[in-house]
Amino acid sequence: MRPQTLNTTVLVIGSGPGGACSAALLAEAGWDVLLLEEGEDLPLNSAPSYSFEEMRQKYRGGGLTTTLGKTNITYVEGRCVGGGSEVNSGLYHRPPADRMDAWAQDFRIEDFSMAHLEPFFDQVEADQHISTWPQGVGPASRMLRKGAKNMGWSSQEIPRFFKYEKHQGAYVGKKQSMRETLIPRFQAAGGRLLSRTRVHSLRMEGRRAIEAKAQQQSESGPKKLRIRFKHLIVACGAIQTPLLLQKSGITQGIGNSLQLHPMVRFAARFDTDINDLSYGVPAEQIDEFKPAMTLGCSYSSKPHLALWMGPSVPNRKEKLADWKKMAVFYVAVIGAGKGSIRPIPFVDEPLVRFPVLAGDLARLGRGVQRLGHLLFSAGAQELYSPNDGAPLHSTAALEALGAGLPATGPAVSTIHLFSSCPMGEAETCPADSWGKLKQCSNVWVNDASLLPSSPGVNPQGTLLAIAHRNLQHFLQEEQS
Amino acid sequence: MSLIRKSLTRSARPGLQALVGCVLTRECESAPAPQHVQETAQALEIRIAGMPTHLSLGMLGLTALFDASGLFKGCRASKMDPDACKALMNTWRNAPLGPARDFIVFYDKMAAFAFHSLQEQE
Repeated sequence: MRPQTLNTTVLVIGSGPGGACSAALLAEAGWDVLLLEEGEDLPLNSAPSYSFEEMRQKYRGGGLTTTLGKTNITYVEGRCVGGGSEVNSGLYHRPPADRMDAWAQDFRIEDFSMAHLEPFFDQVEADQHISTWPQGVGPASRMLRKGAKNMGWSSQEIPRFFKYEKHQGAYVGKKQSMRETLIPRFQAAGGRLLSRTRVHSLRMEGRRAIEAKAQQQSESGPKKLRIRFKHLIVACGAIQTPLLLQKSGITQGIGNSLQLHPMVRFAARFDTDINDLSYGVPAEQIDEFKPAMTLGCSYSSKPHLALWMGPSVPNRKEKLADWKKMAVFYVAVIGAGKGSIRPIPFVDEPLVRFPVLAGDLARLGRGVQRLGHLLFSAGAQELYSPNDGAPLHSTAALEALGAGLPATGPAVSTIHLFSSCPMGEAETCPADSWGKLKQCSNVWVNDASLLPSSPGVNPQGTLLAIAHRNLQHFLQEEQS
Repeated sequence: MSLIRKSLTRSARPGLQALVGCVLTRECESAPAPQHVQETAQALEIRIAGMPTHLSLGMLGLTALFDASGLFKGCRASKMDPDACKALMNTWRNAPLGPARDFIVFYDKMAAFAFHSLQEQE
């Protein structure tokens, strides 16, 4: 069957924060925009948040994707309309201003500082309803706060992309994911959205990309599409963006500098209930060691506790029956290594490699030790080692962890990936100061791939502000 | 590719059920209901099929190998009693090869997560 041909002025590939922001701003400026998304178009409540079923519906590879290396890192990518914003906790940070200045200097990014970005952060905060719980934090956050106070460390409730409404005397929060905010705006402005459509490669004519070869999964089976465009914005995330570019012959500096925040998790048990799922992800974080290290608490349903407790915990069943007395805690650090993304012949998915360095494992170990001290000071009865699940009953038992985690012991995971296609005028950067690929005349990248290195905090707010900035520059350039 | 995948899935199925059975024996602290083993194994098989191709084929291959490795102890892992299967899992857990250890960690974690998730849905 001959492929169906579609035409558009701007093609945006990927509907996560970077893609949704690009598509909405362009459509609102009167441009003809087609937005493609590989995953399904599903409402926020199509499955319970962070559940096994949600992983099936909205995560690439069912959430079972991993980097390869001596220490494998499990990572997740949203694959649905709205991308990662549909499945993450919606925590929002502005990055440290000195980080922005360092990026501007080291990567030679034009017009780039917190002062330049301030209006874009303001815009993101208004668009996404950045806010904290109106009725105060939940019990796990209160426990973290108490522990931080005992240790003399600073902590705070991190605001989120959430809108709160009062129902029968109590506040109910709804995450302001892209599907709730920017995608409706895009559609209201006349933008076209095609879900279940994967772009396999781009056709190039010299330095110009002219056509996307795609396949849509329709009710009647797979349908081949050829999409012609004048401008292309690639926003498929830090893994899929470099993969698509490489498969299309755009390789200069692409996919060589993947960075991430390695994270380990472990469970702890208290003698009182600390786990209230109605608050979602506990939003309190320990600030004391940021940006190098973040300590906090994860969503801790019974299945998540079973996942992170470790197999050697004695009386697992009995402890899990009392799951409200337990929670899962995390330590995330800035990974010092740089990973790579490479296509594999005849396979859709890439080979992702990332070296977890000895320094990363040392910092993770120190983080577990610090968080362990905090939790014991707040009344924890028992912690389960992230190495093997062995129960730890006192701060003395944490000493060995403080020396660093073994390369093959703990389950390392990450939810923050970036820097696979960094921006800047420096030679090593494949994209210029505004996200335009140097190797092409009409292709822009506008997602977390662009971040030159770790922002030291959850990258979603930073990438949204940068996406706004780059898009505004694109519109100004086109008008002039 | 799909023929290789189908054949590997068929070969891996008994090993997958054995591994899930072992993990559920731990989770339930007694023999798990056959229906729970069946449902959890089925859910995991679907998830493994959805993994990126190179990881999925690797996982299925290792699962089939785990089952066959029981022959060194007298019979396939899928024919062993729960204690013998658990001992075989421990041998793999402490193996000098990283992929063998990671493979057991995957089942330890994901079978428990799938089982408790399915229980919650019920």
